[in-house]
Formats: sequence, structure tokens, C-alpha cells
Amino acid sequence: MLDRGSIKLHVDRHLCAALDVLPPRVRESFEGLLRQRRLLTPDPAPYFQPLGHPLFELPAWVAARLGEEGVDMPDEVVSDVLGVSVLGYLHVRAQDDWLDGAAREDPGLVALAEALLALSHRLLVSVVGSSPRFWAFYVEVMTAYAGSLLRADELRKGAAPIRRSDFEQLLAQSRPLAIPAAALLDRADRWDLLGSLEEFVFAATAASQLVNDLTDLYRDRTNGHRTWTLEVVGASQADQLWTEVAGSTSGQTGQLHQRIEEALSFHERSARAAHALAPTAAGGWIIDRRAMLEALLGDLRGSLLNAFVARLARPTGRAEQLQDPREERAL
Amino acid sequence: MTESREPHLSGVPGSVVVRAQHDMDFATRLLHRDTRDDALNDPSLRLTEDERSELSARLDDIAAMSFQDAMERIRDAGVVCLG
Repeated sequence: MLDRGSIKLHVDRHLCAALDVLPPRVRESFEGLLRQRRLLTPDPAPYFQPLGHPLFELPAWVAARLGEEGVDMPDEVVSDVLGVSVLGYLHVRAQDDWLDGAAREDPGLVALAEALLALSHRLLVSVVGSSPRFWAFYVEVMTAYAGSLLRADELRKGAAPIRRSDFEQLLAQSRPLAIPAAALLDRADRWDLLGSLEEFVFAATAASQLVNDLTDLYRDRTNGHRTWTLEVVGASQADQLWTEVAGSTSGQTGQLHQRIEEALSFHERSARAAHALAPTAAGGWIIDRRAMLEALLGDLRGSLLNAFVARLARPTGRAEQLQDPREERAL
Repeated sequence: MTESREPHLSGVPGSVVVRAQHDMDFATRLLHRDTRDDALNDPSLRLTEDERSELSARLDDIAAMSFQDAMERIRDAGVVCLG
């Protein structure tokens, strides 16, 4: 199986190739997105986050599983699929940042999304050709994604409570993450594994999103973004969450513990899907992510104590409590 | 010693800040509501009763802000997903 160093090399090669062909104004937006996502830097950490989606590992796992079954995937095919992974991911990011982020007024992001989609199409064609089976799947996934994108915007602007069913419905936005590995399955004629692939993407992304919504709780509250997690915790109760982390026993039953348990439940669901999809290659990632989720409350406890000691000596006012710490750092 | 009892910029007496920076067990007891009063009653801190009662609410505020810092640190460790 490709190691992480090789995976990063392939990903970076495709990012450089994209930079070379983009018009200057679009390239500028692309460079901004790469900086924001800490990609195309020497540091491999942003590429491989145990608490995030295994964006680049997933195609490598599937390629390894197919290899174990005697289906050889040429290096250039796996490389092109990794290119689809990164360009497709950044296409989604550009759209989401335009819809939801501070850069909403930047038309460069819309232009960039179009360009990235075209570049990833070229790579997909090199892997699957004109396969009717694959492209029918592609159309289904991307139209569901488009519908989910608008549904998310409606929910953000509306006042209705966001429930678990909304959270799961919005995960249709994660379906494009299955496209790169699906291209490999199509090429290898192992389409029977598509169900496991889609189930893995759904459950693994749900676990990531729950952690993401938890750690973004205060930013979302400050910015008026509504999430299932913020709904469950309660905006006014969020300032008391620290007592659960500081306490020695309440952490077993509190809101944070319950949110992490939800994430763990989705993780176990993703582990079952991964077992069907790529049992050997995904094994280490499954164990690492489970360990990180189980340790999350303890990690928060340690971070809270260190931050508390640091804060004791800092000039602070009560009004600061309402401020996004990232905005504070940017001042 | 008078100097260390001066309020720090955070509004917390210097004696408390310095002790917390050098004694994590004390910092832990200061953070927990259940053990805070006991920690602040330590005679070496030389806090008046008024200072102690004002400090407890202030420490709650600082703990809440610190928790946002802690969540942010986990976030910055990197979560690659759609959100």
C-alpha cells in the first residue's frame, strides 16, 4: 500500500499541476484556499488527521484491497484518483466558503470551484473512461450534493431547530467523498463494494462532523450558525460546559460525553463498513481514531487546565467571553 | 510579599497567579468549583474574605474562556471534513 509520504507526493503533484493551468485571478483564490487548508506545505499533518475524514487514505486502502485480490492498479491510476480526491475536496470547500464563510463576496471562489471540477473530471475520465455505470453514479451523487447544499443554506437562514434527521440529511454533502474510490471500484469491476464504500463515507464523515461541530461550538454561536450540536447543548448552556470537563465524575453523563459517544457510535459504524471494504489497510486508522475519540474528554481536560493557568495572567474582560478566540488572535 | 498580592491584569491577585503557575495541583483545585474555596483559603495567599468571594465568580469567567481556548486547540489540531 502507498505510504503517507508517497500519497502526499501524488497529492502535491496534482495541486502544482492545477496551479500551473489556472488563470491568475482564479489562481489567487486557489492559493488562498491552499493556505487556509494548510495544503502544499512540507508538513504532512494537515493531509492526515485521525479525527478528520481519511480523504487521501481511502483510495489507497481500496487500491491495496484490490491489489490483495490480484487486481493491479497502475501507479498513475492511483495518482490520478488522489488528484480527484484533493481537487474534488477543494471544489466543495470553495463552494462552502462562498456560501457560508467570511469570503462570501469573493466571486473568485465560484470561478475556482468550476475550474477544480473541470480538472477533476479530466482525471476521472483517465481512470474510468466513459463507463455508464460510474457516470450514472456520479450524476446521482452530485445532484444529491447540490440539493443538500441548498438545504443547508435554508437551515442556516431559517429558525427551525436542527435535529438529528437534519444532520443526517445534510451529510449528503459528504457523498462526493466516495467518488475517487468508486472510480477504482468501477475500473476493477468490483461495483459490489460500492454500498460499503458509501456507508463508510457516511458514517466516518458523521463522526468527523460531530467533532467538528463540537470544537466549533463557540465560533458557531458567535457567528449565528446553527448546528445539531449547538441545538442539543443549548447556546446559553455552552458557557457552563467547562464544569463537565473540570469535574471528575460528571463527565460520564454530561453533554460533552454524550456528543463524543455519538461520534464513537458513528465511528463503530464506519469501522464495520471499512471491514467489508478494506479490512487490512484501514485497520490502523480505525484503531487510532477510536483511541483519539475515547481520549478526547481527557485531552480537553488537560488543555483546559493549561489554558486556565495561562488565562490567569492575561488581561481579560468579561466581554471577551462572547468573542470568537480566532477573531481575537487575528486582531 | 505585598508586591505579589497586587491584582494581576486578569483581575486575579498576583499571589494566586504565581502559585497556580508553579503548582498544578493548586491550579487544578482552583479550577474545580468544589475545591476552589479550600484552595483560596490557603493562608500563604493572604487573601481577605472580600477578595475570596469576588475571585470565585471571576475564576468561573476565566474557566469558561479557557474552555473555549481548549476547544480551539483541539480544532486547530486539525479536523478535515466538510464543515
